[in-house]
Amino acid sequence: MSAILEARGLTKKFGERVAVNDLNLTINRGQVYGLLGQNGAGKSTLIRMLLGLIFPDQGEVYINGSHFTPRNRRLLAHVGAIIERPDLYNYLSGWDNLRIFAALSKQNIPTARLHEVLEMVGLAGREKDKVKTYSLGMKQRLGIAVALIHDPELLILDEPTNGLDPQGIAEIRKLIQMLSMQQGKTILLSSHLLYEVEQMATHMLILHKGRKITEGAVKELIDPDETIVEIDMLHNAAAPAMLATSEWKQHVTAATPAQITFRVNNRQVPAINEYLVKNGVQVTRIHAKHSLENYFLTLTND
Amino acid sequence: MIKLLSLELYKIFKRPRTFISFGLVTAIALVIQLAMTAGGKDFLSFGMQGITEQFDVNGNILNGYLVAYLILQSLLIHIPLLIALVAGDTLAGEANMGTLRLVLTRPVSRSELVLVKFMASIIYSLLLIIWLAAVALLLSIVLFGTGDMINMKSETFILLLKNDIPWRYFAAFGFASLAMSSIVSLAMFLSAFAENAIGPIVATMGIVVVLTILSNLELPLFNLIKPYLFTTHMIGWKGFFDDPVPYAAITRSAGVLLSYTAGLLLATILYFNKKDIQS
Repeated sequence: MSAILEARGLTKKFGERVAVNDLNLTINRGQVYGLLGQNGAGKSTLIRMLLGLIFPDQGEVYINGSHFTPRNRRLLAHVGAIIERPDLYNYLSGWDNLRIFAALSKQNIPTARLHEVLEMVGLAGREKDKVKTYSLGMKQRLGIAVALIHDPELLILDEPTNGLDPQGIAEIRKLIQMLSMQQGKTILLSSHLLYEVEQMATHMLILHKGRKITEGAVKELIDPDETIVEIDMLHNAAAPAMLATSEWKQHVTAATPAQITFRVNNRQVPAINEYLVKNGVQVTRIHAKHSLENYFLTLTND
Repeated sequence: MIKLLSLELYKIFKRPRTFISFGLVTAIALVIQLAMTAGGKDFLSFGMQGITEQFDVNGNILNGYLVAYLILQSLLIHIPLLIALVAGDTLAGEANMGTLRLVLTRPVSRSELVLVKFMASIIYSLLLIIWLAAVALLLSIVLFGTGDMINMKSETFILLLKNDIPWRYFAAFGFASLAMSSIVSLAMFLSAFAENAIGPIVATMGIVVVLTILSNLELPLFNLIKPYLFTTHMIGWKGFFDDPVPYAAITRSAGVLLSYTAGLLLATILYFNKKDIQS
């Protein structure tokens, strides 16, 4: 596998605030790479540096192995992007928008390609309408069509489902999966939602306060064998003490008379429930979370 | 570059606000023409009192050339404000719409983008001046006919013969276009700093108004800086209606205006190439 995008030691400060701090990342061909972080973690600054919109104070970006600098902007021909909101020329038609961005790609793009991407994103038939008449979901799909117009190898999608209704989210998700599986695109996707990254990405990086917290294959980071289980119960003052002397004591991470939290293997959950019920604890709810989700929530709650 | 330029013009002329300028120019020209149709003779006899006491004036004095001159005198000072509407919007308007960040993720260079937008704004200015020529000059000729033109100045008057006038208008419109290019540069320079078009549009208008006032104030302090203000040179087009035409002064003015245009364009390109796009 070869790297299509690489960041080495990227750092950006705005005044005293360090938005991105010594960040390294490598995205290989074929990956759907999730960039996860709460709002303000530095995702957009990082993406803007990768695209040459913001100049890093330190560090370098490599696209297809070549150093990406302001003098080397032709490398952007390998990349298509949408950043934050799908802002396009609202007073023009979808078709006009595609024409404009096709020309900005500095490639000879045939008209057939415009029809092709419109078909791909499900906007065929609406291209003559002004963009201001589109729903947010349609605008986002047009944004993706614009990003795809020059057939780039890498798609960078910054918070692509932000603000969309559930149907819109499902459509975008389906589209991203299609682009990855059928079109073979490499995709960098940023989100502040773990489940979104978990559902779509093969690899991910968690960014917090501008720093990389962890990075790797989603399957490895989200360990199905380790689960955080919260068990709610009717008030039982004796329960914490009882558990402290039980066979489960090493799995308990927190205990109150109303809720006990365990770190266990998924398969052990029924046995814990049975133990509690047998000992007179009236369980009202069992809630299992991934350890990564817990980790991520801990980060976002600080 | 040509393709990008044509799309840039397409973007400009697809916006209704672009046509406000053309509408305003037409409206002002028509109002003056209407007023001259109704009371032009009285206006002229009042203005020419000093002349008619000493000279015998015959022929079609209230002609299209004179009316066009009056329209230009009142209108050319306001054209920069209309040009700022479009040129001030070029970069800041796109930043505000959110399209700038998308445009700059394309393999087009930032310098090329600024140049394309500059050329598109220049073409818009030229079209506005051609339109002005059409409604102010051609329509006035249709309404009032042609004739010798009396250019009244504060202490003298100049009689320009009918056949000696058309080239002067041609040259004056050419000079006005040059003057407007400095306004385009100024508005684009301010536009590069902003993320909302209102700021650079208002700032350009403000600068033009303030500097025009300074250029017209007869105070010793301002006399020192006047030669360096572009607004002092923007009225250089009037020189073509003098006899003899002060070519040296006109050339100097054209040089100052060109320097402003080139300097501000260069500054815009340099700044924009270093700018972090956060819009």
